[in-house]
Amino acid sequence: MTLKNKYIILLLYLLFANALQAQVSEYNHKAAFIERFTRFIEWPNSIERDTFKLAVIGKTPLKATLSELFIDLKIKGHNVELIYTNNLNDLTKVNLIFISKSEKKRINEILAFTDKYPILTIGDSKGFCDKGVHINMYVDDNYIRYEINQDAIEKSDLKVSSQLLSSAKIIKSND
Amino acid sequence: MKIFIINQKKIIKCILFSCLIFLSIKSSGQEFSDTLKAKDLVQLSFEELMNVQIKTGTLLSIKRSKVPSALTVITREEIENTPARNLVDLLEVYVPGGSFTNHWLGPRIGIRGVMSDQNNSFLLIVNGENMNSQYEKGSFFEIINRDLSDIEKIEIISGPGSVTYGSGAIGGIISITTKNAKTSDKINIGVAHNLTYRYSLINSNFSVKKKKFSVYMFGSIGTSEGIKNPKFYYVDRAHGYGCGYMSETWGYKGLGTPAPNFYADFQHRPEIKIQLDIDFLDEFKFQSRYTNFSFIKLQQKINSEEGPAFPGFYGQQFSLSLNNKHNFSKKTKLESNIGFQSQNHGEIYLWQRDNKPFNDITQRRYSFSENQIHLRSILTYEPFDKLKMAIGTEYRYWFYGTEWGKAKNSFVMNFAPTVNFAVLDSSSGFYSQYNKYGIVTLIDDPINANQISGFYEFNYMPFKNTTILFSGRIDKHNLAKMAFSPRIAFIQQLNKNNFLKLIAQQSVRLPNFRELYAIDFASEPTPEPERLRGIELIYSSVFLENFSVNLSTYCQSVNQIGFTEKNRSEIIGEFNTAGFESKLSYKLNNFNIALNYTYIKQLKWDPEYDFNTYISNIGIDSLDIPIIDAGKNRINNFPQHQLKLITSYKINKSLYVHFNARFASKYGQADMLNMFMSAHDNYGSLETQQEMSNIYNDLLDKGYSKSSFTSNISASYSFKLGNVNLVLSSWVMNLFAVNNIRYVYQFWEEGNNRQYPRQVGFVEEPRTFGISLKAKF
Repeated sequence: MTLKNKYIILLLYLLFANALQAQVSEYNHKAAFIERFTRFIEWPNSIERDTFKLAVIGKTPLKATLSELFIDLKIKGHNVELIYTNNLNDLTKVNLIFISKSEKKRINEILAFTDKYPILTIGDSKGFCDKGVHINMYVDDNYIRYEINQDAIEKSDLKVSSQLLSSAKIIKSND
Repeated sequence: MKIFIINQKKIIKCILFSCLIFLSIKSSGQEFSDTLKAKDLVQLSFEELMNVQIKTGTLLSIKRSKVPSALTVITREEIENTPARNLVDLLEVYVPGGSFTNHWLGPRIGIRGVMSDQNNSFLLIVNGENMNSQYEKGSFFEIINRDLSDIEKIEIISGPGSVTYGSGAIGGIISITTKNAKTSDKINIGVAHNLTYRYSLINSNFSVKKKKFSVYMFGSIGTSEGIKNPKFYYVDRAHGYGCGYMSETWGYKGLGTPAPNFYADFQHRPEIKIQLDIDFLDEFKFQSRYTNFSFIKLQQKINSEEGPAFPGFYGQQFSLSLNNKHNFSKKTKLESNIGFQSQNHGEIYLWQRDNKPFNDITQRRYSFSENQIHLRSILTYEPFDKLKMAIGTEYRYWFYGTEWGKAKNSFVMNFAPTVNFAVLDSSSGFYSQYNKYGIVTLIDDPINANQISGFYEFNYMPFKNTTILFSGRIDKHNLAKMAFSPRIAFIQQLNKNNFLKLIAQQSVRLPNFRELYAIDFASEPTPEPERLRGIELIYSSVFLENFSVNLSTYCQSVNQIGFTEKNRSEIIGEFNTAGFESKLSYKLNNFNIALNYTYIKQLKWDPEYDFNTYISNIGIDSLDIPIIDAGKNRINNFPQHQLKLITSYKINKSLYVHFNARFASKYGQADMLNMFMSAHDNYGSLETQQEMSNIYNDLLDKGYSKSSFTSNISASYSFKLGNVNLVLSSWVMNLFAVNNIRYVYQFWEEGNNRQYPRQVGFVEEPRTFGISLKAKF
């Protein structure tokens, strides 16, 4: 086989392999981070009926990962109830909301609603923290990093551990 | 004479292969280890979770708790808040057992008993690129730059690491990751001033982040006047006969001069850093970086035609690289890199003293550029949860030429005999001045070299909690023997938070290009590389998120390369050491504390040469005072015990305080002093005994070889002015200090005459005050 032929075959292989490319999940990491964040947050009221309610709004691959993760894993000693909804009225008694990228257009509406309650809001979309989402995850050179809107979280009735703040990028709200 | 001819076919193949890879790939999602499920990840400590993708020291992504090395990570927050003049100061604060001495030619890094007359036992990596100077200097750039605000983190591996990064990492790896568009604010402007070292700097960065495109730019400039009249203690009988603090009254021959300003810019060359990063199409990264520095040699002034001046040296470095990280599938990914580096090296030695101007070519020891082109690819395949593998190849090609923009007749490069000084042009003033002494070689052919390397890593989990890591690297330099660096590591997860790691490995260091070229030129047999063979046991544990323990014990053997009287670096003997390192860390809300203790012991020294020397007091008396087995303590530049404390406390949202302290005892430096004292006592005249006794007592009075303590403190206050976030910091180095002296590097040459303890010397580093202001937009 000539050198030229070898490179043509290699090129075809690389292109073919590229076509087979699958989405590599970063959501395992993000789900683990969501669970970890809850360890550093204090909610003002006892969690109702011994169930920690975690809601996901919008379309996200995170749903499947969260379902698998919280089959038997507890948050703050409570069983976790997962709520997948787009209806804000379903959210009055939840403890944590993950807001998907798909909700970018209605983010202000969602936050206007959640601001009335001690609900931790988490996202993974650029600019969410600026809007007032409490914690926003992002990818930095293969690491998951997170930013915290300190003003927003201080305005809520939630208490955040300084240990969580110390590793975060602190963001101020767009006022 | 053998001159290497470039194999153009090979280069074309490599370039073609790399281009093919770059051209044939499209964008993909971010790369993440898919073998770790969310359920596994929630078991990790917070620190581990934040560092799931850590890769320093391995080819494959691996959890930090499983990294088969003693790893220290210095974070951005720690860099910003720790009082430090440069990177080597940070290393001394954070790395268990890490320390440094001052050579006449700059700082010399020491970890685990490994310290050389050049920093070529350590590899300096910047954003994954090996930035070592191959000529002879090793880790030369970046280590004394004052501005560290462009650095996101520094990872340091204590001990051997050439299995991952190639020849040179006998003593350790220093891996710098710079900030980028994702980790920095949009606009930052910072200024800093050190009142004692009289340096000022200003820096700024700017970043733009778009969906498929981001740009990060950083620039800084700084100048340093250095410490005026530093307390530089100097003992020398060969060049002026004196002892004491360097000053105009130093020495008995009237050859004293004021001491050089410590850490001042040489010839007022400002220190500059420039960085430009462009990320595009998700998986491509273009990086370019320029840094420079200069250093005034620690010695007396020397005459030149323009009057007395201090010799010194400088370096400039420029690099370009294009990186691609591509996921072919969930299980297969490829990292490719193509890059170019160029380093300028210049040293003004003042050989001709007052016969020539300071900058005349005949005053130089060297003036050249070292240039490198490299290609690298690593293919990672993770077919099962239990098995991961990586295989890679690298090609590096070096060529040497004049300093940037200079004429061919300005080139001077100092090689080992028989080349000695090389010039490229017979019209060179250096050639006409020194050729008559037979120490200059006119080189007609290109000066170049190349190396091809292959490396692999297999990560296999035979049982649920057991990982076995097989790694290896083969380097073939065209002027050296093939070097093989294998490693095997067993990692046992004892329970949720406890890990036990057993690592056995060989790490190699090829001789410097300075030696390799000269040996090849003389058609002498190809030299052996330096080999470190070591075994290490590490235990790490995390309790309740807050408390972590890392214990490490190691035993290593090196066929040590040293500088000999032949003006060459050669294998001088077998040197075995053992040591223990511990690190305890505790975090509670806003308070962090870490305590490191390290111990090192020399087990064996089996020299190749008779290290017998004698003191010949030229011009003073005719005594030849023998010192038998002179260089027998090979850890003579280290304290045997080091205890380091690092604390930080975030008092409130605005105020942050950092404090660190270092206690060291049983300094190996005592050995040389005692050896000289004993030799004089046994063989000296009454006159020399009295002289030596005076030197000895004076040194002890100054704290030489005694236990030492020093401490540093800083405070940062954050506040807002309009829309701008400001951070005002101030710091004090050596706040409380006892016997805190910075030793001069001690080394022994086989068979050389030595007058008194020639390499005994130190600088008393004073209490230092600094202040900085940073604005974030």
